[in-house]
This record gives sequence, C-alpha cells and structure tokens, in this order.
Amino acid sequence: MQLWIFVIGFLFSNLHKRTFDPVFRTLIALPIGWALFGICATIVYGVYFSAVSQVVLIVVLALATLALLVANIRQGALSRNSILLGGAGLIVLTGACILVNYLRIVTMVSDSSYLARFGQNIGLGNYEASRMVFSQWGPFVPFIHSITNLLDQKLYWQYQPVLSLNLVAIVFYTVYSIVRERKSTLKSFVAATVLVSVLVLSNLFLFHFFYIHVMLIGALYMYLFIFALIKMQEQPGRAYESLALLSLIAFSLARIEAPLYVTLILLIASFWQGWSYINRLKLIIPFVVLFVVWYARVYFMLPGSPDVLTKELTLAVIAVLVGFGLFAVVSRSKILDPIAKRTPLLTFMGLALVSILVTILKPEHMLASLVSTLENIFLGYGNWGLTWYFVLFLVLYFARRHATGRHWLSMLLVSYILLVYSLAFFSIPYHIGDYDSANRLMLQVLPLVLLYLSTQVAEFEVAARTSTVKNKVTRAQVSASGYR
Amino acid sequence: MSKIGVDRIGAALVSICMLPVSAYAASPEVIMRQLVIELGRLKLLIIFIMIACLIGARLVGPLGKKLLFGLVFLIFFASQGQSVFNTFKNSDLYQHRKIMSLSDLQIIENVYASRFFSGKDVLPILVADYMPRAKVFLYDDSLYSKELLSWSGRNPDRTFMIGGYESTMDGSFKTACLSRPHILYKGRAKVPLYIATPLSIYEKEEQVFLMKDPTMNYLIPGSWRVSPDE
Repeated sequence: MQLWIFVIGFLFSNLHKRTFDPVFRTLIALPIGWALFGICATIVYGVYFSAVSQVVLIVVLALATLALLVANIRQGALSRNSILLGGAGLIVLTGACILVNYLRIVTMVSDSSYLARFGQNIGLGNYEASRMVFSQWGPFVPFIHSITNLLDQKLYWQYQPVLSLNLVAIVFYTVYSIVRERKSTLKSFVAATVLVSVLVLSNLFLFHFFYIHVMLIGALYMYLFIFALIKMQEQPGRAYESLALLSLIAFSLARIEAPLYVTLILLIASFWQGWSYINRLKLIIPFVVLFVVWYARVYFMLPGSPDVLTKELTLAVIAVLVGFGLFAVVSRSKILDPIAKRTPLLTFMGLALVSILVTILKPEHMLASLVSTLENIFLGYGNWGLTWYFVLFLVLYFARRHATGRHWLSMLLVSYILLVYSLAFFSIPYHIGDYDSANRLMLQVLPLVLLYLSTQVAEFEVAARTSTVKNKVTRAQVSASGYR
Repeated sequence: MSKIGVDRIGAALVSICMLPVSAYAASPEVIMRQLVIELGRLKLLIIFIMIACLIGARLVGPLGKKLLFGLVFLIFFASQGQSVFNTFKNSDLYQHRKIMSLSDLQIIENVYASRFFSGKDVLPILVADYMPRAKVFLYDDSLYSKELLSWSGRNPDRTFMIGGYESTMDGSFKTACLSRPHILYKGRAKVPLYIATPLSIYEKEEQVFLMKDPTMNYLIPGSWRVSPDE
C-alpha cells in the first residue's frame, strides 16, 4: 500500500520537476501521497459513509493515479531519468518497509488503541462505531487505519516508522539545502548532521518514532507547509504553492486543533511583506472552503456525547474559519489595508495579550502549566535529556545582530509557543511527564526550530565575515586618515 | 572532588543568577542540590561546559570557535546517544512484538493501559481481532453499552446474545479452565477477566460465553463443552 501511495506522491511531485530537485521530489513523494489519500478519503467518507465507501476510495485513488500518470505523459515529465528516480525511490522505500517489518516495534498509549480501532471501524463502514473519532482527533490517521482490513492485518502499524524515517530524511535534506545555498558541501553536511541529531537524539523522539498517534505526522506536515511557505517567496510558481496547500490540508486533517495553528501560520507568513494578495488567497480560500464544508459535515456526524469537539465548538471553528477567509478576501480594501499590512505584528501582540489575560484570569492554573512545561523541557521529566539546552546553545552561538534571516519564522515560533501556552486555559493544566500535551507540542515544533537554526547557520560566517571585512575597512580608513 | 567541584561551581552560578531576585526562599546550595537530584551530576557538568564554551567562543578566534563548538556537540552527541541507545536496548517498549493486534498488545504484551478496554471491557477489541464469526453470549444485558459493543466492528444485535445458558462457573469446570493456558486480564478495571491463550484460540469458535463466579469473569470458548442447551 505504501508503495502505491509513494507512486501517487511521486507522480504529483514529478509534475513540478523543474522546481523540485530529484532528491526532494523523491523525499516528499510519500507524504504527498498520504496527503492525497487523506483528502480523497475525507471527500469520499464526507459524501457517503458506508461499507462501500472503502471500495469507492480505492477507485478514486486508482483514478487519481491514472490522472497523474496521464498528466505526466502529456507534460513530458515522465523522462527516463524520472522513471529511474521513481524506481530508486521505490527500492529505498521497500528497504525501509522491510527494515520496519523486521523490527516489529510499536509504541502505543490508550489513545492509540482508540485511533486504530475507530479507524478500522471506518474501513468496515461501521458509522455508529467510528463517529466518536471525529470528536477526538482529525480524520487523517483514522483513515490510514481504515485500510487495515484490505491489508489482511489486525493492526496497521508499519506506516508510522516509515513516515518518521521520512521526516528525518526531509529535515536533513531541507536543512542541508538551506545551508548549501551559502556554504560548501562539507559544511552543509556537517550542519545538517548536527541539527538532525538534535531532533533524533532524545528518548522522546525515539518513543514517537514508533508511536501510533497524530504527533509526528502533524510535525511532518507542519514542517513541509512552512518550508514550502519559505520557498514560495524565493521560487514563485505552482510547485511550492501546491506543496504548501497539500501540507496545510493534511496537517489540518491530522490534528483536531490544527486549523487554529494553520490560521496562525497564515496570518503571520502570508501577510508578511512581499506576499502578494493573490498568492495569499491561493492558500487561504481552498483551506477555508474545504474545512468549512468538512466541519459542517462533522457537525452532523458527532455522537450524542462527544469527547473534545462538541457541536458548539464545531460552530465556533466554522465561524473562525469564515471570519479568517473574509478578512483575507477584503484585506486589500483601503480601510483594512493598514491592518492587513501589520497583521503579523498584530497577531503576535494579540497572542501576547491573550497570554497575559489568561494568566490574570487563572493565575494558578496557567503558572502551573508554565512551570510543568519548563520542568518537562529542562529538568528531564519530558524525556528530552539535554536537547533544549543544546538548542539554546545553538540559538545563542549562531545569534548575530546583522543576520538577515527569515524574521517571520522567528516570530512564528514565538507565537506558536504563546498559542500553546494560551490553550492550557481551555483544558486541564499542562502537567509533568512526557505524555503531556505541551511537551508533545514542543516535539512538533522542534523540526521548525531546526529549520530556523539552519537559516542562522547559513548566514553565520557570512555575517561574521561581512562584519570583519567592515571592521578591517573601517580600521584601514581610520589609520589612513591619521587618527591612530 | 569533582562532585564537590560541580556543586560549588553550580552554586556560584546559581547565586549569580539569583542576585537580582530576592523572592527565592531557598539558598543557592539548596537549589543546586535540587538541580543535581533532578538532572544528575553529569548532565549538570555538560550544561556548565556548554555555558563555558559559549562564553569562550566569544573570546577566541575562528579555529578556537570551531573547536569549542565541536567539543560541545561531541559531548551532547555522546550523552544523548548513550541515553537513547540504552533506552532502545533495555526498555520493554522497544521489544520485538510477535503478534501485532490491539488485543495482543494490550492483553498479552501490556504495551498500553487502556481507559475504555480494561477487564471485561476488552471484549470489543477481542471480538474485532479474534472472533470474526462467533456469537458471543453475555449473561446480562446491562454489562455493556450498545456503543461499546459496536466498537467491535460487528453488528452488535447479531453478534451478542443475552442469556440462555448457565453462566455461573462450577468448581470442576473452573479448575479445568484454570489448568489450561490463560491470562487474567485486569487493566484498570476492578474485576479481572479470564481469557484463554493464545488469543487465536477464539478464532475458530462459533460460540463464546461470558461466565462468572464471585471473583471474576471468564471468556470461555464454546468448544470447551459449554452450549446454550447445557
């Protein structure tokens, strides 16, 4: 199944072969394939939920494969090299699947069993026995588990370690390519190795590597989404637009609160200086339309006693999405123009104010959350070891006053942390332990921190060299003018 | 000596950090002792080395900077790598699993503690994994909600039958059952459930019976000479 999903993703990414280099095209094939699977499943089960839906989904996927194949042939994208590249990707993926099958390791908590069981019930077309899942998690991972019966397995667990491997490979390659823009191959390789080791060398990551849940899948798509947003500014065109759109949809389908994060990301990134109105709408309108329709459908699917997502919350999410969509559409009007230009800063300040407000309203609750989160990160309760100390070391080591890095990424990272903190207001306080939500959300953001660090590393010696040259020039000018 | 050194240096650093803050009740030594307990001496030493290298990097030339960075990275890599390797090697979590099914992982391997599927409530996932055809006889219709039974993935009305059999275990049958391979699965529930092992034993059964005695419930394969007529 994963091989088929890879083929779908590869055919899609191969359509943009002029923009995506061969390695990147191969690395993103599996996540893109799963994203297309998730979107097709959401549409199929959203329209008609029964035992036949699984067959319909398979037919839709087959048609999608055929359509992508035809599109590749018509565009002349399916060259000999592309076929060889796809074949090589398939061989590597097969190797990864064999390795994962050989290891036979799976980590789970009780939520994992519900995700898997409810997902399996979706595949059986058992509406009553699966609709509870839509009030607990996004539908993406349950849809992956819905194909368990087709695979003649009792539990479909292999996709998770393979996607985790894919995440590590993607982070390595993207970090490498960002540093490579300004550094030698050797330095870029060393930088990518150092930064990826920050991600993989922790007991928390080891657990999540095999963990059946929405965590690393969410991290993967959020990372791809933001990487595509960065690249959209540098290489305009449909390639990174479609990657960003697919990733943001997959991310929003993975986690129940992900549309909120996506809205935050879009408010900061797509309203940043240099983004065109049209480019912004190309992402926001499909996202808003798809998710308003999906949540409207979820409203009618929720069971009598739902878990997290109640009917009222569903309506609130729809209202937020509609409001966000309308704001994006009218953001070009003269009245809203001053606000639209300052949207990232206003979003950041708004979140900071909300954080202060929730702390004032529930001081004990919020401070307990804050202290627990810090203890998880720095005192070992979150199973991180020295990871965040080393991250701090890297941030301070590579910090430069004259760095011209992507500022919206640093603003986004701080806003993300503020949002995570503020969300504690609506639930039980964050607590000590590696299963804590905030602790896991820090794992979700870690690849992005590394992406940010890679931009700092890329500029590090360049900035240092520039300032040294400037100093030398100034000193030379000073000595020439006889002041010394 | 080195232990005392780490504590002393740490206490000195903590006092420097605490200088502007008068709200701390504990002394630097107490906080340091607490940090040592929470983090361990080695990790604390590594953190000090990181701080020292960070400060040192501002004072030395490009080669010195690279050497200091390399030193910090190597220490981080060795410390974290060893921790991850030991966890992977020794923790029960990362063991090779023989059977990948929700029932085996929960009941036999005890991989996760389920909120919903504990004790007799594990029945729906057992039915889903190992009872594709069997009719399951329950002694009371208030034992399970219809929703929980539907999580088995099968039609609850056609799968689960209420009553019509002798549900109380008699002494000799109980002894016979307990002499066969089994597991008493409790999870987070108060009353355990007797489950025959391996779980695949239920796969070929046409009928499965939930039985009871004052201490626990029993999930008995129909081929063990229990039928609705007896």
